[in-house]
Amino acid sequence: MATSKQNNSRRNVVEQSSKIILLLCALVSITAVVAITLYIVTQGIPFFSEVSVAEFFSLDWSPSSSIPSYGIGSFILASFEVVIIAIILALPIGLSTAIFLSEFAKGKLSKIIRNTIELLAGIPSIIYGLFGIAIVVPFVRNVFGGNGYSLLSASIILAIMILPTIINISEVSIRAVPDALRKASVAMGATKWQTIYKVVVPSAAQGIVTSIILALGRAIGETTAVLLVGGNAAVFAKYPTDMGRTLTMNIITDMSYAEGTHLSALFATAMLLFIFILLLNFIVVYISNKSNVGSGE
Amino acid sequence: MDRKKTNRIALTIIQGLSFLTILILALMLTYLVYRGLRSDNLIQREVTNEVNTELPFDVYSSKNANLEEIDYFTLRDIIQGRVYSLRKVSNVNRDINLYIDDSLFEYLSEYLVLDSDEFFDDNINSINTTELSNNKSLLKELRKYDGSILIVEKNSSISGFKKVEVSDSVIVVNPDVTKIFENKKIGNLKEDEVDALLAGKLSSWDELLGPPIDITLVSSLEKVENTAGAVMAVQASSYQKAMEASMNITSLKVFHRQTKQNLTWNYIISPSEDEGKYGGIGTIILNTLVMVLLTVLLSTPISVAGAIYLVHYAKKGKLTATIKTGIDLLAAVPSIIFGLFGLLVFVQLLGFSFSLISGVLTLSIMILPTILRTSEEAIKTVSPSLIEASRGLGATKIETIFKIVLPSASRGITTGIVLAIGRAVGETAALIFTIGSSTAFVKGLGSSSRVLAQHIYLIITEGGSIDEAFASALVLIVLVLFINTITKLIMKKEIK
Repeated sequence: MATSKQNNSRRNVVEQSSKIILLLCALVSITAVVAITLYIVTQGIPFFSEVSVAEFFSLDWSPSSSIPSYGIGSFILASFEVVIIAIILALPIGLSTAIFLSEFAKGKLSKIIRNTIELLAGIPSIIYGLFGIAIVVPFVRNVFGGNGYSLLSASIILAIMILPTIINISEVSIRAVPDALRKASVAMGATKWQTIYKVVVPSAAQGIVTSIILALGRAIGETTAVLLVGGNAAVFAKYPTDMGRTLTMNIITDMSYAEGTHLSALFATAMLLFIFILLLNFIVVYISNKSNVGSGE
Repeated sequence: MDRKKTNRIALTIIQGLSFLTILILALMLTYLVYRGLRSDNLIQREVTNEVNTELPFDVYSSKNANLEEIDYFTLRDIIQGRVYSLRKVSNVNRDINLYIDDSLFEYLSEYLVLDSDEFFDDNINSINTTELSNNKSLLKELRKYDGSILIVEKNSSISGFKKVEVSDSVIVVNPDVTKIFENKKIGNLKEDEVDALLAGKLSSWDELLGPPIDITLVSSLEKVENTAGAVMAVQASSYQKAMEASMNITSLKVFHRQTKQNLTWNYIISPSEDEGKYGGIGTIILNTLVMVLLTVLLSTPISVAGAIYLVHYAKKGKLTATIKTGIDLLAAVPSIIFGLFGLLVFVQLLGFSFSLISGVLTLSIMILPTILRTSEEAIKTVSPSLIEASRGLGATKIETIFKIVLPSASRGITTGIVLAIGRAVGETAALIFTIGSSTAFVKGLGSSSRVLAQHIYLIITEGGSIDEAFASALVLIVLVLFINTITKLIMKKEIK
């Protein structure tokens, strides 16, 4: 009896301690997020005691000149320019593929397309960058002039990189549109195309918007691929075909030698990037909560 | 009618755009494989292959010397001792170990226009060809060493080496051809231009961006010297003699299209030398595998434990919601931010400096959400009746988890791990500021090391050869595809 009791209490201890260990492991993610936020913010905030916010958002980035200036305005604009063009390029292809997969493709064909998307998602960004240097840059050079290293080249590469995100999430939401809606539409005499763009796509709009925002998040944080093709010139790019520098490019380029205020300017850049990412995520959470409430009613 | 037309057009466009994704992937993969396997470069050189003279000797090099062709002037420099390493000749980091048949010295001296005292004796080993072909142990040694070059009698039976072609003709012109005229100067010729020039298809030098002088094909160097616009192809040996006799002639440089096999087995297995400038990527591949292995070993227990907690212990509430938000946010953080965090915390604050451990810790956090989410899905799908049966038999919760839940969910968890490996293998931005860049095989957790994706990045940004970048990229993509296939196989089995 005594041994059994001992055994039981031992099991109890194991049970309780393992529960705590599991909880600690589950908390690693949130701890990491908090730590990352804290470190980036504590390194970035002191920057604003030395440099005004207005200067931070100005277009003049010359950290190494005798009167240094730390304006990242042109990098913010370049980042947005790059991701918006990327979305414009990727959306028609991504949405069409999602529609095709969920509405038409069957058997082997859909399998091939699905494998394609999986592979695209698995290709490392350095390889996208290399491909960009060898194919996209010469293409842009031949078609639009200049030297080819440009924000547009970065957008084209990003467009390919975000295709899987757009396709996968849009497809799930298009599939979730109840069949009854489609049947009703066809029964009213609508063609397949009319059904798609008047019934299916509007019903799946929330999922499609979510996919775009997640793609935006991936695109704005991408570093290696855009760095290799974007030209990385620390000036304001007037046209998409000019060389430009995005926020991520700015961080990775100067990080290796920056010190003092210059270094904290880079952390401030990272902080801003982080804020953009958080914002995009909260939008996604907001949208999905709203749709959950909607389906609950 | 009109409606149907629109319908048809719209559906065709949708279909076309979906096929575009396949096209893009196919284009990318084909191009990467092509560039990975073949290098195709225009190189500028002084010689062409226009004059075919029978030379009484053959040049052989070690198979890994990466040498397919050698030009007269390089050969001359090597024998003079001006070039003593293959670095500049074929980008191989080996000093040249030169063996010359003793009967050939006289001919070589005449052919290369060198006095016998200009031969660089320290570098040259004299040997008899027949003796050499019988000396198996020496041959074996020479085959092994990448810098071996043999100059032996023609048609001698030497096996295990690569025959190197000697190109030794020069396009000689009258100096007035290369004068600057109206801000233009004749540049390097392409091979088809050389062919057209020597076949007499061109009439004036201005067709090759030179001055407006008629092209005259002549047959002796004296005529080249004395005729305006004269050109001829001669053996480099004659050109060298003429130059030493200070004849008033000059040569035109030529672009040579050089196609070679790019990725070789030797490149994959041999260690990297001189911080990645020479040698292969063997050590870098090993470093990549070590890095990925450690990352997965560190990240998997934490992620799986987290997933178990979320499925079997977490109650609905603030804590669980916070944990889930944390995972979502962590998955959304861009890799460059992980890189910065790693730099601040592991490299600087904890003092690990640029080392394997800094890189591994950074990546472990990065791949955590991937493994956790997939494991969570897998653990959720374990049938409740199994769990209830186990509990009913008196097993505690934790015993049930280790003996019933985890084994049943193992396939799903493996899928998550393999996905995470795929992500870790290709990561660059998070590692640049954390793991260091030494190309040697890692000696321990504290040593700086370079991984494959980062190596490609460094080749490009440090202005290395793009061919090498493609060769390494091919290895990386094969690794990624391999990992992808494993994932599929596991998932397929799971469905069955």
